[in-house]
Amino acid sequence: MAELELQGITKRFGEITALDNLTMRVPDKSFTALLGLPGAGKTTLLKIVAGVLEADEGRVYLDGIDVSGLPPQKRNVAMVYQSFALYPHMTVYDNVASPLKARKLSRSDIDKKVAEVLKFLNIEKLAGRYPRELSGGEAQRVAIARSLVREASIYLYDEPLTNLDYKLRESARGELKKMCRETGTTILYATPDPLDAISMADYVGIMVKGRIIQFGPTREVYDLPKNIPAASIFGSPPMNFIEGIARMKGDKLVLETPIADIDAKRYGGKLQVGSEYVIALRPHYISFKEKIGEHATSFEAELYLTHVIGSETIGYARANNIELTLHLPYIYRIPKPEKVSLAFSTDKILLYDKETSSLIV
Amino acid sequence: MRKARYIKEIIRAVFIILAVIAIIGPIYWTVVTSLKDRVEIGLWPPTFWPRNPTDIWWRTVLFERINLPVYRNSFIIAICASLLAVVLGLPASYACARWSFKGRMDLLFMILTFRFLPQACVVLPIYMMARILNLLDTMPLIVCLYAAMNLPIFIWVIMSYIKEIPVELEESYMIDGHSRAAAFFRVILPLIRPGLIAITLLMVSLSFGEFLFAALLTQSGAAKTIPVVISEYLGGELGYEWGKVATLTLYSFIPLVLIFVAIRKHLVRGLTFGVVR
Repeated sequence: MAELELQGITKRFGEITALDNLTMRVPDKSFTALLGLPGAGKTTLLKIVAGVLEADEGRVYLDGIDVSGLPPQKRNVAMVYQSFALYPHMTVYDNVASPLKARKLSRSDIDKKVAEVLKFLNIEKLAGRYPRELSGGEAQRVAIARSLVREASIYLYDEPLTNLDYKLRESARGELKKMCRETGTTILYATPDPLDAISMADYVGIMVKGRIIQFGPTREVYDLPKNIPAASIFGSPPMNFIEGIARMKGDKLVLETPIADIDAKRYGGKLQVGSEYVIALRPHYISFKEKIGEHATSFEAELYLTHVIGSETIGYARANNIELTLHLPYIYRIPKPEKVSLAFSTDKILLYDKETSSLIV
Repeated sequence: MRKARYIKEIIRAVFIILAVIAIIGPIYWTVVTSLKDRVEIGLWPPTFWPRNPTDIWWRTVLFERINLPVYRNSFIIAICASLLAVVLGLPASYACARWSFKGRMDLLFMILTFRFLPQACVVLPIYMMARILNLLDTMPLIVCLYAAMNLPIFIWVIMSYIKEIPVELEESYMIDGHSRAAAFFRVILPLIRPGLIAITLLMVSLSFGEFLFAALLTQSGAAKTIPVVISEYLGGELGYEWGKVATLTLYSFIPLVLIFVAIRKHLVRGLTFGVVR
């Protein structure tokens, strides 16, 4: 188990810079999510950690050792590809045994370890099958089994849930988290889905265009994303953004927005009157006026669509031409668009400077 | 409406029959000729079935002159040349498939255009070089030439087969701890096996049937091949020995067919299905 450190990693493919002076430290024994949209550079980063790609600049340290020049064979990392990369001409047993055969373990040792890990993932009965005979969920487990069968310094997962259907993804998340806890390993998990990070990760690194724009404990990053891109990526459903201008109305400092004037007292002298700001509001902090208590900012809106998922509802509303998304923790259906009074607690908003995009605390 | 469909079916049937005749026809005719006696071969109009079938050609043609050693030569040359092409071509195909280097496409197209060069253009310089090197009428010469002739096709086809295999498989194998060479022998090779076998067999057939180089660069039983012998039966002292020609042709054809039939399972491309989910 080890700590991973990346310093100044840069990788170019011709004209395109995939990774731009990237620096990150993944704590030992943590489940760290690498969160970013497709094209952010997550897979490239994982491949550089694995040693399959070589960085143009920068260094990779595993457990304090500089592994930057080492080929993958010598690095003791395990990687699960998005496509699983199972060897189609080998049985599940041989696929999982592959890392052990590379280490020239004895036949009986290999048998034992393979049986152990297959049992751990509940796939013992698949040992004699070939990859083309497996379902998506089974193939994913075999890929994970192959990575777990030996003790690696770090386990790299590249969007392993993307190829699974929705229901399978839900249960797989629970199992992955349980597995990580039980094995006490260091995991770096690339995903475009904030839900993966929220439900499984201890730490999260938000990646945009080849750079890490924020890194920290998941809860911290979620509650206080330090700029607008981070706020917009890390949230499901995505964050609501409302533009506003700081104004003095009488002797009160407010943020004037198209939907309402928001009391900005708590920001005190940090705001410049006349400057533009962006207010970020998570969908589950907006609700109906009756439900929100003190420090509430209320406004009129038209709720035009609701979408029930399980026992929760995503609502879509429009107020003064601003689109807002709501996340209600109960089932709420509307037969047709209706006018509603919505509100949110003023201390739940996040405020960003429009020009610099940085968080104002 | 029904009449139009009926006519379409008839036309389709006609085309299929024509195609079958075009493919099976020459083979059938060769077989039938090899079983006719000399007199019947010369008949006009020709007979489509031997009236008095004879096995005389089959029994004797291989033991005439130096035909048996020549028959053996053809096999040895075809197999050696194909193996040489495989040994030289596999690393080349892998390099071209997996790495991009300066001049790669130029190199590949150059190899291809050399193959298009008419043999007649190069046979004379090759003859002169071979004579200087004392390699005329030797098997190594022919083996090397055939390998060189087959390499371009081999490299292009195998390169495209290798490209079809996702590079993630090799990467994963190396992350597991194996060397790149191990990845080549235990991941790539098994997965391109159907294509590899097919191409190798193609090279064997091409080597068997090659005529120009063999005719001009070989003389005695040291390196002569079957096509040369067949050509000598056409328009020699005894006129056109069609019976011997047909039988020798079949002696070359049948082993190749048998090999194809024996390995036809391996030519199925089922192996690369289900690789990527």
